[in-house]
Amino acid sequence: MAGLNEIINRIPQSSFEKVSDDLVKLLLGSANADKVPEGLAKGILLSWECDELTKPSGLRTLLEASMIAEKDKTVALLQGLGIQV
Amino acid sequence: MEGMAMFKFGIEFVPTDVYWKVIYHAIQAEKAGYDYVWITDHFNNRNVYVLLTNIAVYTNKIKFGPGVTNPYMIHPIMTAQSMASLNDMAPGRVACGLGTGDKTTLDMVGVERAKPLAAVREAVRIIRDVTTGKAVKLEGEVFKVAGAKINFKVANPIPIFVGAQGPKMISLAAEVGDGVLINASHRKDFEDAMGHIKEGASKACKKLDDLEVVAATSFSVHEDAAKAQKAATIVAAFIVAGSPEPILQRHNISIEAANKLRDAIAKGMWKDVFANVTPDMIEAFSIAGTPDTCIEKIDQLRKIGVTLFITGSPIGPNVRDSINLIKNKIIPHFK
Repeated sequence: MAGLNEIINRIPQSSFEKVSDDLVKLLLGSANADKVPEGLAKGILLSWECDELTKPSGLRTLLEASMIAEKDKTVALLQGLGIQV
Repeated sequence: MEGMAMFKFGIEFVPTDVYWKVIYHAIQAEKAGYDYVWITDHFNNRNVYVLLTNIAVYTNKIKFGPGVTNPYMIHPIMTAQSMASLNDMAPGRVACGLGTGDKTTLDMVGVERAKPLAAVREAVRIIRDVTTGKAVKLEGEVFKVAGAKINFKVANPIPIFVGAQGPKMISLAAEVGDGVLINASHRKDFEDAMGHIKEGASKACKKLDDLEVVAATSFSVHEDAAKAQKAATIVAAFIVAGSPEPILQRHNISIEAANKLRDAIAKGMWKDVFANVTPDMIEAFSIAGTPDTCIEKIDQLRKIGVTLFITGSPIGPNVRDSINLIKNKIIPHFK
């Protein structure tokens, strides 16, 4: 599997908003949300407060968190959007 | 429309979820144009002040507070200290919701709900005195305080919203509170309440305009009305089960029907709970439907005198989507 930065680089800028929205939806609906590490949870909140969840840094935080909470669903989500993982 | 400029929105969260999800939604509420976020205070959920501290950190303009804290569970002197400390972090953004309801929770910890009117009157005095820098000396019926004072200044007055349901408590809330917070969703409840609010306000020589009249509703919005109503069903069941007889009578709900729900809830028979909630119950105890239906019902409450409308649990089948609907279709109608 590609590294997180590599995956982020493969997401076209035009899809940032869609990917961000889908990852947030996945995380908020996850029964494993309590497994998201403290630093990532705080990173998500800080990025959300600053409207940066659709920027590469915010996407990376979301992706890292969703890979921990819902790895299979995250991979399927990205592949469904045509992003190689 | 008259009064429209003053109309405010609040949102209430029950912190059953991991903290960062609640804070995510609080940030979302701020971005959506809400004026207040309230966190419920129950010993069996996440601690209200941990959540509120995080809301202070991650938001910048939305007001926030416990909605509501119970003086039988938390001594008002500690509530005053918590509110004052939060106000240090977010001056002018803190509000205190206070109420003596929720007998079920009090029973669980063996706390007697004695003299609720005296408890509220005294708790409001203690919180107000402490947060305005005074030493509290009180030989009350419920609380006795011998000169307690905090050692730091509070930059601004902290408004106190008193939760109320019965006529005497509604009147007292208007008399001693900065806001009257009524847990109800139907216009009939507010038509009935307004007389008691006016009575209480006049006792304290207050104008009605000086008071916030708050509708803390069970709210559920979705573009598909059936989905919105389905999400509201379980909340309506709990409200019916916990409502006193006069409230049930006001909405033509029989004691037998309420008892059936109480039994089913007590036994955890959730299929029976769902089966026994009628559309009339959902109508009486929630605002659930499409954005247009919700706007119509919110406007009915506004015209009766409600100045702050709280979208409470469940908010919708999916909280994030529903807040977005409220942001895009409901709040703009009133602001």
